[in-house]
Amino acid sequence: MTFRIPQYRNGFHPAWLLLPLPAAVELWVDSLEPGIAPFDASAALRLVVGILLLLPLIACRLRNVRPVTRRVLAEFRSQMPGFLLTQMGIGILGIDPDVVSFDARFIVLLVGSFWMAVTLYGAEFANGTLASWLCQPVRRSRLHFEKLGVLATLLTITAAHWMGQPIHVVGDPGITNSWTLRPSLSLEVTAVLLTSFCLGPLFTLLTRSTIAGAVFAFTVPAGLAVAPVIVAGVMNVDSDYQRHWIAPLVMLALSILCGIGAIWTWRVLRDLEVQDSGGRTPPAPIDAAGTLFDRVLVRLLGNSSTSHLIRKELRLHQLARLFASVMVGLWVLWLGARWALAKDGLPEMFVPTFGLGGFSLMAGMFGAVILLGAGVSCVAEERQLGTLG
Amino acid sequence: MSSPAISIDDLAYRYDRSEALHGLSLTVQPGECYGFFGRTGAGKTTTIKCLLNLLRPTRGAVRVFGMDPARQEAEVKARLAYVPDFVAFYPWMSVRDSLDYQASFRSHWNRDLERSLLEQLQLDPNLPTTGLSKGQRTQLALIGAIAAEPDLLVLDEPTSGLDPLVRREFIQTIIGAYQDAAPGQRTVFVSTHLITEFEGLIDRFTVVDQGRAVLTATADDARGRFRRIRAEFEGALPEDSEFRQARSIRRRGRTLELVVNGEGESLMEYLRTRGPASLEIESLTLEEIFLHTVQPGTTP
Repeated sequence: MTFRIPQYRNGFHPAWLLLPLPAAVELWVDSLEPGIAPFDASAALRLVVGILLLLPLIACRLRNVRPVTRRVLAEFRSQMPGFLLTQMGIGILGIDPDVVSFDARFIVLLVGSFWMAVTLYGAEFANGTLASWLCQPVRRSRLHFEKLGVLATLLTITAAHWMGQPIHVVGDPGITNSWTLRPSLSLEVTAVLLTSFCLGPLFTLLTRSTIAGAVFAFTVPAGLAVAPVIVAGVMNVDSDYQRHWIAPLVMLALSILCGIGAIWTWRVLRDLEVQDSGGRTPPAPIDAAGTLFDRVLVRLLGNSSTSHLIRKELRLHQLARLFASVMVGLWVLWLGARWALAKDGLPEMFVPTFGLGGFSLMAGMFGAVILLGAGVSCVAEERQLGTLG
Repeated sequence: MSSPAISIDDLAYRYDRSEALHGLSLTVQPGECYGFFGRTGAGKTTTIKCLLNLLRPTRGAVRVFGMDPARQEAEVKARLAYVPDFVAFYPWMSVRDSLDYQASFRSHWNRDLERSLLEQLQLDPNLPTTGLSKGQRTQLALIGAIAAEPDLLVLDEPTSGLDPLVRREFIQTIIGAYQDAAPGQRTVFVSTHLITEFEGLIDRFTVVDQGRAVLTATADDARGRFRRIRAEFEGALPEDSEFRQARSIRRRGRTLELVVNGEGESLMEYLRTRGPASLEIESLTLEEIFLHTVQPGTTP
């Protein structure tokens, strides 16, 4: 077994070596403070975890390994950017464990796990390697389970890293690093990871696009989680007994959805056809919707060169448009739920409350994500079509 | 008797809006170098994808070495290697990584052959795949296909993007050597527009047009049937109506050029009765045969 010298190319960047840095900095800063024990066990543990997180990265550089190991390492390698950025985010936000970084860390976990899940198959579509990957002399079931095995491993490491970070709840600093919150949090973390694991690959395969896959993989379970709250509000469910059934119902529905998603993913992959050259995006429901939209625009704008240009740009932005539509839909749903629930005087727990700051944050996030999505998908599609130059 | 390397019977495939294949049938025997010629959109890539279980036929049967690619996918793919028209690699891999990755799927991989092909095609194993030109990517895909030493090599426009020198080297030396290493056992199924380049290698071929096989023949038989007769007259040239059996008629000054399919001798005899100043007959190349098949009257 030999090691290759890490290089800048092939996705490796020395910045990944900074993973243990947050915990190391914390240890160092603590050691400078008078009156604080120079050795913080929690930070030391996180330093070790940070160093251990480099193992998958180092493993990817291994050569002279068994063929199956090589394939698995290649899968690890393709997941490295999402995985390492997620770990870095979790690690950096763990330095100052207040409630803000806790929420932010949960968002990092959410985004990171969905990113890894959708790039599992999304990378094959994006790189145009789907056809050659499916042509390898191995059963599709094996290809599928090798990929899933890698994803499961990385998500488990992510969950362990996340759960290993300190927890600090505003108003009760006494439970910093307390293990009392871990059981309830582990349920939420499991829900996030299981949902991304089961639905991320499914929606990427169905839409044949990473971005669209991410949108659906996130919004479908989110919609499912919000729906019972809305239904409860509309039906004027006001007794505590009835309302306490909502959370278990949501968990049950999510579990069923994940089960169906896992089976459906395999069936989609088993029957997957590569209709166009190199496995690039073939006609999908999104493209069909885009075609319809395009026809409407032809009627409205005519067939001039300006019209062609406008239609081309709009067509290239169809994923961003879809994303924006879903977000607006969810936003309207959210506001409707809030209005309905607030009117019925339900407890705060079930009433999504946003102040001006929260509203600005959400609106800003949506705006930024949509703009970013528009730019990224536009350039990606131009690149894929070979029309960028 | 061993099963055909490829057996396609009444194959049909329909995309959402159009039918790409209409009852295509062909048989490729082991050891042959089989040409699959057709215009863009004729259904060549669709046929190949049906062979590889990348597309599920709407109708008909496909067998590779007697096996159904849909039911025995891994077994079929273990015996073949495929070079697509659009070659792509994982962007974070080097040439070396990419070959190692491909080798990890195979039970057999000839490292010596891989090394010699890399040297022959002057491809640096340490190059990142993102830095490869289109031609180099094709070369890498071809090396990956050949180093596996499969029984069947399926090539879809394999030489597009290669410069003429490499193209010639690849076709004549590499594919030729690949087949010669195990005579009668290694089959090449090649879909290409560059028919001239494969002229000396093709044993049999099918010309496909609009999803149908319009001509299937051995290369020698086709060359024997498709011929060009050139007759020079001192006086007036004969009328076109005298050569109804000719696929194309061309006049150049006092020279008359006829392309025929299997009527060469009888036309030669008829022309001799018209007292030409000179009369000669020659076989068409496979490319000319292809052009005359898909577009009768074409003058290459």
